[in-house]
Amino acid sequence: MSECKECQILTRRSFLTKAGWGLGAMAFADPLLGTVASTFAQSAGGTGNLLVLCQLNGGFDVLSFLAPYSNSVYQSNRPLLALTQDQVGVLPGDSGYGINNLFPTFIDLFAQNEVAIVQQVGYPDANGSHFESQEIFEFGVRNLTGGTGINGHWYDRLKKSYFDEPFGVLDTRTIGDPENYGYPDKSYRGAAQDAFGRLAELKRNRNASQQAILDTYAKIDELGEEIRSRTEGFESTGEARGEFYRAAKLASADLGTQILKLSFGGFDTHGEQNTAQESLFPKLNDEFSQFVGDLKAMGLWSRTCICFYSEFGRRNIENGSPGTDHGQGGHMILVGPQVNGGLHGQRVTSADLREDSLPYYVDFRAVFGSCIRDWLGFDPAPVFQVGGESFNESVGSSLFR
Amino acid sequence: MLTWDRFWQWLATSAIIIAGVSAMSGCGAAGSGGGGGESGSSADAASDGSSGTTGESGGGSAEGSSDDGFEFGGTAQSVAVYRDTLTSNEAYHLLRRAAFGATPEQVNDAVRKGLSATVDDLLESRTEPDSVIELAELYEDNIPKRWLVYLLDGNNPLTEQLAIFWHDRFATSRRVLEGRDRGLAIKHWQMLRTNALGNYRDFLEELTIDPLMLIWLNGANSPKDSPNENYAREFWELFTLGRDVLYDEADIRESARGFTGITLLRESDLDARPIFDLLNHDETLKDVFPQRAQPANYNYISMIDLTLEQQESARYVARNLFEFFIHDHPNDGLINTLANQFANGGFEIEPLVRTLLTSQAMFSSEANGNQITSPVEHFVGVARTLDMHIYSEESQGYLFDQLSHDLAAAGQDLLNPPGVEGWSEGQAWLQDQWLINRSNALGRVMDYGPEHTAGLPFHLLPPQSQWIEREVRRDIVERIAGVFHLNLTEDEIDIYIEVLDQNGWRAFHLEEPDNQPRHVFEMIRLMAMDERVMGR
Repeated sequence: MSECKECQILTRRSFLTKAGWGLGAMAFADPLLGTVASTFAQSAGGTGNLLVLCQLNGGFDVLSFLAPYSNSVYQSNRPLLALTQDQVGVLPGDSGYGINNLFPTFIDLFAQNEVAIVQQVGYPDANGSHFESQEIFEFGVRNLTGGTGINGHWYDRLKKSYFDEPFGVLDTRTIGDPENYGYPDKSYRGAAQDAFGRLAELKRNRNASQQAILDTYAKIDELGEEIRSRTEGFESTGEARGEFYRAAKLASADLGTQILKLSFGGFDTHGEQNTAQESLFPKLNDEFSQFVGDLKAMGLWSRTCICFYSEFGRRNIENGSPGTDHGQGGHMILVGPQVNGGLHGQRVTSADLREDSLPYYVDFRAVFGSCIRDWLGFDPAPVFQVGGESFNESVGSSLFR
Repeated sequence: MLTWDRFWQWLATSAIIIAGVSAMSGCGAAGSGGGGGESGSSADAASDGSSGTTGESGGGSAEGSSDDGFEFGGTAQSVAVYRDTLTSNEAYHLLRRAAFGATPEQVNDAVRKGLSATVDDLLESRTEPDSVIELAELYEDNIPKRWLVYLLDGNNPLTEQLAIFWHDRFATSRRVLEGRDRGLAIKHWQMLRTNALGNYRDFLEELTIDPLMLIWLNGANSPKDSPNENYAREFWELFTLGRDVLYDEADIRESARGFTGITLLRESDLDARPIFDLLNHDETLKDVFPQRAQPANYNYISMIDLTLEQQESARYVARNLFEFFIHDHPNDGLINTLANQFANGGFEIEPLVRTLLTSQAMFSSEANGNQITSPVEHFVGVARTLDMHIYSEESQGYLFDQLSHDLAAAGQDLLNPPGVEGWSEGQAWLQDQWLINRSNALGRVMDYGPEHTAGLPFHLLPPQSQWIEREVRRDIVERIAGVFHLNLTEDEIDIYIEVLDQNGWRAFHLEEPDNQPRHVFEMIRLMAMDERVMGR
């Protein structure tokens, strides 16, 4: 792990050396910044599109998002929690499904064919642990301990294979507020910040965990100036200042980023689920809506796709709290002007609803794989064909136009 | 490179030449446990050690500690007792892991006493000073601030360290509490601290009916006809067995029925309290671990008993504690040894901790510098090592506010972990933004508030009357490095001196006296971010 970070930094450094100017010059070299951005993008290859991964943390209750409101099994499974027709935006052509009215932006975008919902997604032999299942989704392998030796995010493998640039994958959780990214020097002449970077570089013969600390310092020192200076002019169209705001801010920096990762929490609704969703869903909807507005304002929407996913869906039958426990299959939701809007995967049938949890019919890697191949323009094989794992790579329909 | 440009520019403009490096080099800083007067203490250590201040432990080898050397000669996969005589590096290592940090005096004291007596001291429960109790109470249910008072100035750092350990395993968050339930945060926090070194079985029983936990994992709202599985699942996965150990989904469903019947009673304006409501308990047989046990009418207490009867549970605790204090690759034989000791001793936590802290493995090279501290451990460790306290009437409100905010921004908001799994440890702490905010937090150690009043660790620094001498720069750097047991290279020393000189803007010893503390502050704060200070 430490090694690959080091290579990134070396790559970055050699690039800068070739470009003929050092980091210190950047702040004063505004006209050049545009050149840098396009250089990043070119070296990245692929389509140059942006894929935003939004992990819904805790287990997203997809039956409260896309409700089969007219299904009697659904209604009897969830006497207190099932949504009725007047609580949903019925899908065009009345399929018996509707999107929860707490998600007005999704309803609007669905009507504009900009939302593709892939139903009943999962992986073989579902695991009910948040952490195990999250790792399966993030690492892109089913058998974590089965000797695959894979313990890194699939998007980091993708980056390494195709666009190994420092800004290729950015995680809002890692970067935090871009404006404050860097050593928080309070000295008069940047002396401490300067020393911070130099110390990280000159140290040798450290053990693995110490070197990991130093690598992170070097990265902060390396990227700080650019992230700060390129995001300081950003103005959002809205008031929210959460992860979507930060994601929009990072997108505004035009750093050749191919994948932006963020996480949105609070979905582990074991109890008082209605109350929880009444605040949680509008929050997600509104922050996402602001993000869409920001990207449109920046002219970036046309090359953006957002993929929502969660470690599992929730149980078909409500518990007495009333809430829902950990389930299995769930939906993945793709949003963007180029997605093939509509419903994909297998419709939720009465038979599916009679199970404890929704089964899965589409492997999550098929969906991520389509995003990689059809949206980013890379072959997903090296990312998911690892450690002897095999899965059905087909979604069954095209997720992009 | 830019930095060298600035360096040469500095050389040219200020016409100062860095004092010849050579001779003094390493030895000044080489783990010499602190600044002035150090050399004398090694003789004390040798004589005191052999005279055996407590009990019979003192039989350390003849030479032992006197050379202050490095050592760490323990066997990585052994929990047999390590030799009693500690080097200063070993003592500092022990005190960092068991008490967050240690002043040079505390290190010397541990060297003098030896391993066994030092661990006795750490395990002894001491009353807290009134000043600590009173200050903490001011913060009521604001647990991050309230806990910080004890973490920084309390007399039982090992208890606090273990309470944080358990908090991270038995994670709960105050964010589920409504206004009327705020007292439950205090109750939970006290429960963690009173049980931290106590009996694990009792701990689990209290935990299971702890009101905050009952709300957090829905244990209080799990009716017998449609039980909630949340607590049953995490009880095994996170608290007692580990992910996918022994149980499957069917076991979870059966166990969830066993955990029914607990309810929170709310009476007027009293804090909610747990009661066991037999009418709401599923009284039928539950088939838990069918391979190993007959179906039975379990309730929450017998579910805990059944779980503790499985060898896997003692192993889980042993492995967790071992990895927390020592290193991350204990072999199975060693874990079995510890687990047997733990189970046979009736699940008492204290003896297990004693075994770990005095073990060969604890003092093996594989247990040295292999860990990355959490933000709270890092901050508290630096504050305790520099012997800095946040006392002043006018500043404490502001500082504790800022500090708890900084630590939350650094990734560790106490009693508000990111999820049911607590915090991810080790390299997972290395999120860029979290590290940036650690640095902000470390600044608070020195009370360098908005009034620009520097509360530096003056007791560790050369007297300010000497701050006009050129050599004082190196002296300051080496003294602070010594306190952190850092063996700096000449290049590193030079860089820290440049920080004192503000990159050549103004040589430190020629600077206005009013400005000097700020430069020292920046230098110490930067050194506290050293990978060997953040690591341990």
